[in-house]
Amino acid sequence: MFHKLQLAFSFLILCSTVLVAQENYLSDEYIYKSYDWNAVEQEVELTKTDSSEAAVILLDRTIKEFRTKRFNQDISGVITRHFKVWINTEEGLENHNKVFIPIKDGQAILELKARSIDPNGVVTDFDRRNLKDISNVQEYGSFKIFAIEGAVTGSIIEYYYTVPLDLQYTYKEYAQGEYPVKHFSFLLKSTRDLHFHTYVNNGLNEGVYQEEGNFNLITFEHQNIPPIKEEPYSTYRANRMNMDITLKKLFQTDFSGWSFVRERYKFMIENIGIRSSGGLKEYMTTYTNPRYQTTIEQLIQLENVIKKDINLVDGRADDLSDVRIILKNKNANQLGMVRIFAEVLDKLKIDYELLATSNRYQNSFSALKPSLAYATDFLLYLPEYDAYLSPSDFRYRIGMAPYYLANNDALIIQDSKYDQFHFIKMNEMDNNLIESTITVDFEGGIDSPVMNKKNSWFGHRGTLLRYSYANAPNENKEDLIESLAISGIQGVDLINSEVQNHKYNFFDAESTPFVLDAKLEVSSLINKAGRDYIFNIGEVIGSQTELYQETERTNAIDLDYPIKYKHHITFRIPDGYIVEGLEEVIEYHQIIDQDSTVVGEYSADYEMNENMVSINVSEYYAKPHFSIEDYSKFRTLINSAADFNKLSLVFIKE
Amino acid sequence: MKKILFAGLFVLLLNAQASYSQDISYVTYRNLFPEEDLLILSKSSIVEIKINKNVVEIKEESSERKIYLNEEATRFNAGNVGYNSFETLFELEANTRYLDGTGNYKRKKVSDFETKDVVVNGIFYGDNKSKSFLFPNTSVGSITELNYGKIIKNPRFLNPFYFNSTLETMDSSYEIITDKDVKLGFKLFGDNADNIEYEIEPLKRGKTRHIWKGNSLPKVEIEANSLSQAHYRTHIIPYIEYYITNKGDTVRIAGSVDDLYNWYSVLIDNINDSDNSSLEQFVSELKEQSLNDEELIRTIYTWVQQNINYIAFEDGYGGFIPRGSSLVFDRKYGDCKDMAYLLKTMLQMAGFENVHLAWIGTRERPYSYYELPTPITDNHMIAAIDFSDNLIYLDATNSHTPYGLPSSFIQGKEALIGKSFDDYEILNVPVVEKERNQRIDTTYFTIEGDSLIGLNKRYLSGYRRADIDYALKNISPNKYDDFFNSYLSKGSNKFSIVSIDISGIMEKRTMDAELTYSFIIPNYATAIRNKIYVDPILNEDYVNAFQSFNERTLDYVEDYKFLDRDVVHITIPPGYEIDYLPKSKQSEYDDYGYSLSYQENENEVIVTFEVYHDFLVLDSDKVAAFKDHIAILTDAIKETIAFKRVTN
Repeated sequence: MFHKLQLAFSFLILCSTVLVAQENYLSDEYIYKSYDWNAVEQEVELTKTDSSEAAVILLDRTIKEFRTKRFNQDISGVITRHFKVWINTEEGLENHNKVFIPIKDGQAILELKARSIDPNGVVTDFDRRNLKDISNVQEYGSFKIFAIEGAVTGSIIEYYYTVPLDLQYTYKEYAQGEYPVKHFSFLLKSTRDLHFHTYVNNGLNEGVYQEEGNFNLITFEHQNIPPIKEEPYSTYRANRMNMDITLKKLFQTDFSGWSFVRERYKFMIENIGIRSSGGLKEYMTTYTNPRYQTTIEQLIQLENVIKKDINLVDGRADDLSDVRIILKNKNANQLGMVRIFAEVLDKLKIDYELLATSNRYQNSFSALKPSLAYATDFLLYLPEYDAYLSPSDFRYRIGMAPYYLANNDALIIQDSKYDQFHFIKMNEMDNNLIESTITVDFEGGIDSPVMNKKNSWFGHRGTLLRYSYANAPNENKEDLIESLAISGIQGVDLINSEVQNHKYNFFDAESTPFVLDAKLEVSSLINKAGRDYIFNIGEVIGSQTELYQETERTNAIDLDYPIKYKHHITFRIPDGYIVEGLEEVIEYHQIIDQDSTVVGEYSADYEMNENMVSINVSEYYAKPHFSIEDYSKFRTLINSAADFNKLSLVFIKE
Repeated sequence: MKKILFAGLFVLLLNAQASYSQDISYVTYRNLFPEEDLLILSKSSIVEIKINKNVVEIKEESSERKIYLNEEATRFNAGNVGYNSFETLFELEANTRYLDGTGNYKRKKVSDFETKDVVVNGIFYGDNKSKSFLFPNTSVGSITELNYGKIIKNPRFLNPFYFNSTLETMDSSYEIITDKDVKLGFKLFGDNADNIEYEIEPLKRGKTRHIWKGNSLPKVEIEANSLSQAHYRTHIIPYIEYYITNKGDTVRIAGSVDDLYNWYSVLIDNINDSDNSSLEQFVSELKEQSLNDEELIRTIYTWVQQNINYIAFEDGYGGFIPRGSSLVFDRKYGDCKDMAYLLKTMLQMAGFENVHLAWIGTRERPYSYYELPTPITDNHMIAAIDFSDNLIYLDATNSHTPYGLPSSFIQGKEALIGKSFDDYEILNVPVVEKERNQRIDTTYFTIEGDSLIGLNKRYLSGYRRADIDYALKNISPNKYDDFFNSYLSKGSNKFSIVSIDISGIMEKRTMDAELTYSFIIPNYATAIRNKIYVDPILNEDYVNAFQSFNERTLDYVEDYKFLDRDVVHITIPPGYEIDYLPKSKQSEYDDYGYSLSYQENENEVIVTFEVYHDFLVLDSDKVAAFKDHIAILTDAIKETIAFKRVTN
């Protein structure tokens, strides 16, 4: 049941047209020229749930129109955005009272209207003289900006604008965000010789296609879209309702399918060695020695050198993707980095596949949806070594694929008759082991223990830590190590530390961990209770993620990678004391898959041998994805480690 | 110290040489500064101030050279030169000199400069721009060079020059060449200001060259919660006191506070105030609803806080002149100047005569109007009203600060209060005493098994109360549960709220507020054999906040003084008696202190833990003692109460 919102004033919240008569949209006129933002068809009521939101988007409408001129093959386009939002809180107002319209330098706004309606119904129209320009802002581009006038909490803010739009191969449109949307509407109108594919994702309603007269029309409508929740262990951004629009055909040219994507990117691996031959050869000669190094050793060496020597920058300038110029200026963009490594592999005569894929936290690649939107990240796969080389992620070295690209499909760019795909493998949990060996020593006094903690990070975590350490400014390296060693334990002091395997000069980060051996003063783990002492032993494993709050889960569980944790904790019971509370250590939970495979487990147990106590804790997640139905079991495992973190033992005076 | 000795030796070496370039290899620098990734070899600015046909012309030419010592440094290849509408940039050039593998340097010029608009945090639209570029080929041992010039269009806006920064700087120099009819003033600020060498050199035609030099000044460290960089970086702020035109007229710029205020008055006089009739109507409606004068002031102030949103347009003189009141009233947005002027207008319409605009520098500006009568001393504007023999500061930019409290970031600062076109007064904004900024938690709990079941009442006053208003402003109501669970969390992160009454908190901008809630903390107590152990310090936020203090060297800054107290009543479990109760402890210093007491009272134990900070800035020479205080306090709260089963 919906409830009318109890407001100090009463007004109907009106929504713009849900479905404007089709004959209007299919007329020869641009839609924007006769667009009436006051057209009313549907009443929208706010619900009780809405009253707890910072803002509610009443209308989010986009109209994209393209016209071709066959005579000179000119293409013109415009985009109209009509946005209407009800403001409930200061946060909602703060996030909606400033408008940024993306526009190229030199272009003019074709239409702009804005207004606010305050809770008393007073309308304040925007004065276009207050429109400002900002140009070339960081990597975001240029904008026309303005502030909404007259808006307070309880107001409705509404604006629409039309600006020129360039035809692109692909567009991504999101229907879902952090605020609920009452009415999402998207309309694509194009002349008959311009065709688009569209794909909807994550439950967005399918589009309705029409071809009539001189135009094609595709409309998407969706009502009552809930806000997306930012939930831990999820790819919530990729889970938003959205659509992909890709260019299918322009005049007689076919842009559809993955073959177009391959065509677009294969320049990166064409004309290899012809232009840059001299420069790269000299570069390779400087840093490798084929007489004493195997091919793969040379590649490892070169990857290290290139990723230290070259700066990865944003930008599309030709200089940033021309290998000759890159080697001189030491600046390259992503495409430039792909070219460099393609040329290196060619010179070393190593076979490779160039893969195009997407970041699964932003978009999940689908072979069924040919689109440039899913070809945003590049990877080189070396079949001979069954290894990946990421040209533009400087944190990684040859071996694993970056975690945000793994467990995802990719298109193979190389020329072939058929579309070919590659599944980017995710490594196993045993290759992502995080192991800590902890000894707590009370020799110096029961209230002043010292802890030796050796942490070994394998796989992805080790790789990322290794990069962070290597690239931290010298004066910050100590802080980084201290932070890792202390690991969130309050009140402890680092006495000394040693880092191992922190250089990038080896192959196979999965089997060579980044190691930190630390000694810490941990008297904060001991509380005095008269003659007895409370030993907060659980804190030695460091702070843990926890999911104690009861909330309804909306996203499936997606981990960065399968992972295994092992903690081995030993201590000698101080002389003159016995220890109580060890039975609380014992805990065991599992997640079992539909085919009876154990895919997640937490286990903790202890042994006592005379005065030596050893505790073993193991936690693992064997796969990167769990269904939403498994959330409560997943939560139990996560919270088990957090529970252990709170465990206390008591040393009782004998 | 070792670094300073090395640097000193290094300076001797340099003075024997002509320049810093390839005469001294990067390896030498790297050995001298092993912790550094890159250094500033030299930075300089030369300013020329001329009188030309009754107009003052100012040209500034700057250069900077850096050397890259290791591979990590080569990532810092982005360069930019910032400027605004009061400046014109000219002669921008940049290049990299890099080692070619044979020990020789080659040069590569920057060819591509991009003009970008710069969006500054807190400013929606301004006139800051930058010329951005990439230094090519920044490899180990390379040296980047940057040279540019600026025409300064307004003689009030001479730029400060910083002799040092967060990078080690080998050599820095600043020159001003003035015509004979220009009276120059300057002030040096920051650590090591006394180490700046100053010379005056008379030149032909009555000109004067002023030269300031800094040699190997130590770099400035950055630490969280310290004073702003302007307090530490050695810098000079030049200003023109006056100049004499070719006609013989004396034009006063910044010789005294009078000069500054005169200029401000002229700017305020130029406010474009159009028809205010709807604003007047609105104010008279507010007046009718108010019972007395104080309520009326509070109502007007609160209305502006609540209804005028902070959106700042700071292009050109928009950064100095408030917009008209009716415009701000209609638009429902403005910046600090707009809000201050609107407040003044509304209060005057309501019949209050003694309402003023006040210019003020926030605490990040370490300047006094008396020593530096220039616009750089202030960066904020508020209103002030004389009422009942008090001067009440009204800063509506802070939508959560209650009436009667100044914003925390202007406490202790000089306010330049405009009494009339010709008259002003400088007064210091008071520092709010700690007793007005309190958090007091009164908790009652029982132990059931190993769980704590409790009830807590939290009382907040002053800035402590304003903080929660501010936090709630940025949270939508459907996230209140998560927020309060986190904000009120005690004991462990298994804490959860069972029921809560937040009605006392939700009325905004009150000077104090209360909220009550019941809670449960599972697995908190430890029950072993015939004993129950419970840590009564449920709130360790204070101690935890200072865990990273061990490495601190700089001053420590608080937003405000405060006093926090936790009073915990623990019901002795039925069938149990006290086995161990820790001893009470306390220590008090001039600027901070704590007390921790344990009392037995019938069937309960009462633990009272109080901490206070009676400072806004803890000087760096007091930080060591403060670390000891934290260490002592950390030990003091490590004691656990033990109950044992009663044996008959």
